[in-house]
Amino acid sequence: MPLNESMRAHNREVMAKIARSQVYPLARKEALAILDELGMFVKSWIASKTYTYKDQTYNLTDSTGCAIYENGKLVKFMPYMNRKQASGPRTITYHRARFAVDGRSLLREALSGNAGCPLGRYGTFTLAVISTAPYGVWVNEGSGDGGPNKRGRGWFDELRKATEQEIIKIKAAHGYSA
Amino acid sequence: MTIEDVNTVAEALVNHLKANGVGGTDGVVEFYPNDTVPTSNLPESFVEVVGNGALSTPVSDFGIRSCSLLLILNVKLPGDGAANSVRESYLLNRISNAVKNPFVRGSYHFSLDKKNLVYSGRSLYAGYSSKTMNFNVKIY
Repeated sequence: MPLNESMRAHNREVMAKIARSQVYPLARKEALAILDELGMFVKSWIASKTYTYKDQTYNLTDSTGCAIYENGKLVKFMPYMNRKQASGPRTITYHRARFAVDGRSLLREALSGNAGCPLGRYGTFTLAVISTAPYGVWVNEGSGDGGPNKRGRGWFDELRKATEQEIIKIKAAHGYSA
Repeated sequence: MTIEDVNTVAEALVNHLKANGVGGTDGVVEFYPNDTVPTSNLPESFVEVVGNGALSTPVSDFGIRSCSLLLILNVKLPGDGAANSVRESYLLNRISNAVKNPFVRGSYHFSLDKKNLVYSGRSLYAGYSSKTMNFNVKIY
């Protein structure tokens, strides 16, 4: 008796589930390896760019790191962890109010709790580059110093571009097209 | 499953560790579930247990829920800044013995993710080293 359409549809569903259960463990290992390499690239990139950005209190770099998420769950944490860390918070003034910025505390907050990663769909792997000190935006815009020094201007933009280029190379090295 | 399970699942893991020889009577390690770490006077060694990611369900309606917990072991560095590997090894051994096989606590089924260590290195708490691992939890 030939298969009817509903039996064919059922068989396709079963085969898709089996394929996913076989492919997922292999894809998982590969995806994590690729993102791990990318995370290491980010750390070495930051370490190499000291001529464009100089730490003052080290709170900004203390608040920086990479996190790899699988289906929205943190599976690997790679803080930047400069050799020298902040000895205390940095005080900033924003809209005439004073705030103490403790980089490590802010990074801890970003990772703890049930926030996870917003991209929580099944089968997604995400590398998030996190820098939680709020004045990172001013550094990137070149407004942190307020004068001609503009230390760190475009630093985060440059990091993003470098990361986008590097993921293509890493995927190619693993045999995947862009 | 109820809303309160979000907090009690971390406490259930902590209670299991205490009941199975980790910290507790010998006072070697303190436990802080659900982001209760104090802001000062941290102990020599402490374990945080926090949620990792969202609650999810593999079924469309009632039934099993699942979530993950992060267990973070923090050990104070001695004066020279190197890791206190003796204390770390001792505590990791205690934790390992308590969780090496999947276990049940109430309506929670816990299993350690042995395939992957989330982090090992200097802690985000100044003056500490840290080991971070995942637990997968099914909630019935």
